[in-house]
Amino acid sequence: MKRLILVLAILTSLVLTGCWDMVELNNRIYPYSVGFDKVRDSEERYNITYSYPNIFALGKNPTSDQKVYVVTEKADNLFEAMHHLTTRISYPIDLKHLKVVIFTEDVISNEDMMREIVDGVMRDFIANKNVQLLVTRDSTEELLKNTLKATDQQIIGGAIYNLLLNQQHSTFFTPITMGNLVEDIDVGGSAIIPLGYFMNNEIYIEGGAVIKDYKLVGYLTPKENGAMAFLSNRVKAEGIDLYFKGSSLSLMISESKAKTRLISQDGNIKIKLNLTMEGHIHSYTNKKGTEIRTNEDNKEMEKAAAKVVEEELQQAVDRVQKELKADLLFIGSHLNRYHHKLWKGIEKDWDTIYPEIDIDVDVEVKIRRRGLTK
Amino acid sequence: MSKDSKISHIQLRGLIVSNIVGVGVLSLPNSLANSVGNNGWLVLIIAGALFIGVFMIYDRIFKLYPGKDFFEIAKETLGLFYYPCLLIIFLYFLLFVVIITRNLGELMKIFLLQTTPVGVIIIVFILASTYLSSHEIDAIGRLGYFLYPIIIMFTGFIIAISLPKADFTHLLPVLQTDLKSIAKGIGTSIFSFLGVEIALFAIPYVEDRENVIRSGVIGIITVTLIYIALYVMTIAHFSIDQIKAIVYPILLLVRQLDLPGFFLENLDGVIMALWVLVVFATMVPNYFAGAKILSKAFKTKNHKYFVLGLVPVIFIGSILPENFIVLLNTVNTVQRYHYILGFFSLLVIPLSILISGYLRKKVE
Repeated sequence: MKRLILVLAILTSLVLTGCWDMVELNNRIYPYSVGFDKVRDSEERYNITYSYPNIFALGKNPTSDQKVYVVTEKADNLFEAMHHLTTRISYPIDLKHLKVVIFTEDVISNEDMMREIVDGVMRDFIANKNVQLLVTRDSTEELLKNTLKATDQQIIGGAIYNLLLNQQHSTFFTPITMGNLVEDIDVGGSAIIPLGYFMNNEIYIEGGAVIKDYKLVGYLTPKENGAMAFLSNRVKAEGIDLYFKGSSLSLMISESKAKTRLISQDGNIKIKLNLTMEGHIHSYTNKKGTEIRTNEDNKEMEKAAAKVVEEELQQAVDRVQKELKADLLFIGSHLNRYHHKLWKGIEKDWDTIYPEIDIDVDVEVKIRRRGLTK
Repeated sequence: MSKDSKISHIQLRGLIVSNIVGVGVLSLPNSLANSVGNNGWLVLIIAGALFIGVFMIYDRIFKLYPGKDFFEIAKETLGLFYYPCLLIIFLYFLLFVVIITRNLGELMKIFLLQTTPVGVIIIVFILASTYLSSHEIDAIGRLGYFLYPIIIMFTGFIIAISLPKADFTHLLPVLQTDLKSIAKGIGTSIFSFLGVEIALFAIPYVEDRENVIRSGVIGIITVTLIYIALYVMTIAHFSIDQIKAIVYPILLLVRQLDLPGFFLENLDGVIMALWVLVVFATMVPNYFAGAKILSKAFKTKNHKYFVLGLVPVIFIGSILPENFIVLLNTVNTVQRYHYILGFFSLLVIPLSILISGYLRKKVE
């Protein structure tokens, strides 16, 4: 009897290791980017491209040469494509570490498709909700294949993902994750997805596609994107270049804060966007008589810089408001939060009211340090 | 009433907290957002205050009949209604246990054990709870005491990782919700406080009976604070429409956050593991209470055999609902019956015991 119990106990411990249905890391495929292309003459609606790192090509003694694989499959959704691909690639696909989702213009122009893809990722139990988004004008398949040729190649994490992480805090594009996209659209009705393309063996990410209610309404230039990023407090640092007293001046902004204020609500709603920037002088063509000596010089310089920035921002705001009619600065949500009574009255007609309201940009630049020379 | 099993104040507090915070905690922001939008914190405060009142009723009952346990008092005061009331409370506990079990099984399957059949997860969980449930209230009090810090840790962990990116302007506008939806919200949040009734079983065994009310109030305030913290954190991260659509906002919150420096991602595994303990702490007292009622109704000395007898009932009950929606929506579903039974066993029955107790004392 005792022996039986002992044997049973030992047998039980075998089951308790929990290893009987484990999957080795290299027996799974972790795609880091997936692209959606619209297909015109086919039953399936998308041409879905996955790119994934080849684990066997990494490490000290790689057994394989190709570092990144790109596979394409026609399917009706992300998950169907995964099932189809099992007939072609040897291991199951796991979306837990998905890093980038790329759309083409065709796909984001179609509201249903866009909603479908976003819902698919948000609903799935496993898929990563922090995926970065990217839009490209031509096919995503091309972009992903071309990425392999890019000179700046990152194997783990992927070239596009590393660019999108935006570690230099560039204002040319603003990275956005799937979760942020849903939030931005819920709060303000619109969002910006960075725009990427491949040229001269390099991947460029600059500018943005404006999505309003899950549908493309237009594109932003890198400058306009920077304006939106500053005014919605998404970036803090950027350089400003201008001419001051006939010589070129370059300022480095290191701190900026934007505030939305409601100025008047009788008749036409008037909004003021106050942007305070702080920074130091980067470089200045220093000639005789133009040295920065007094505080007045400094003040003059600040004013000149503020004027340049203000014009640029005002232009961008006007275009976004009048042409794209997208509330990218969350003015509606500001009114909802701080002027709720007013908002109750205009909430329903906000779409028609928004392009008509007055938005005034007011910039203040403060030069804190002038550097080592005068 | 056996005199040897005693529980301390901190155990009572732990028991109340761990019994109230349970399966619902992951979906609480969702149900609150659906009724009151971003003013859920207000509703939670009101509900918490209401439950302090409920706890006072419980305390009064035992002050009225010192030295007796719940069943003795109920028998004395309810008279003819004693057995029907026991039946209602029993069904309430049974349904509670069934809902907890199914919930746990489903969530474990989709988030942690994708290839394990739900049935296996459920039966393992039931059997694990069976062992502890067959002990007396003092053992269960110790469980509460043991899991109390884990529940605080669970909340603290979520707050700690979500604070850096929180945007509290999402809480604005404050107090712009109309009274009707606030009333509806109070209705919703009351049910997230289900579980206080475990005090009915625990109070008679507390060592120092005079200060029971203090422990109870601290326990309920702790729960309210935990709920408010979790709710505010989700609101600060998502838009209201998003929270209304997501079934488990807390899980998604954890999923969307990375610990600073990217050294850990996808923290939902950690949260799920802690959550299983939280759920276990809710399961055991309710399971115990259900079996205890049966044993009192059949006048047996020990409730152990009823705990075992309930295993198949809970198992079958928890795999019966055909899908998750049947289980969780609040219209015409299992959950709704549970709420109705909960309302009776939480408030109506204790209140009638108290009133009838007072009247009887007056007559004497």
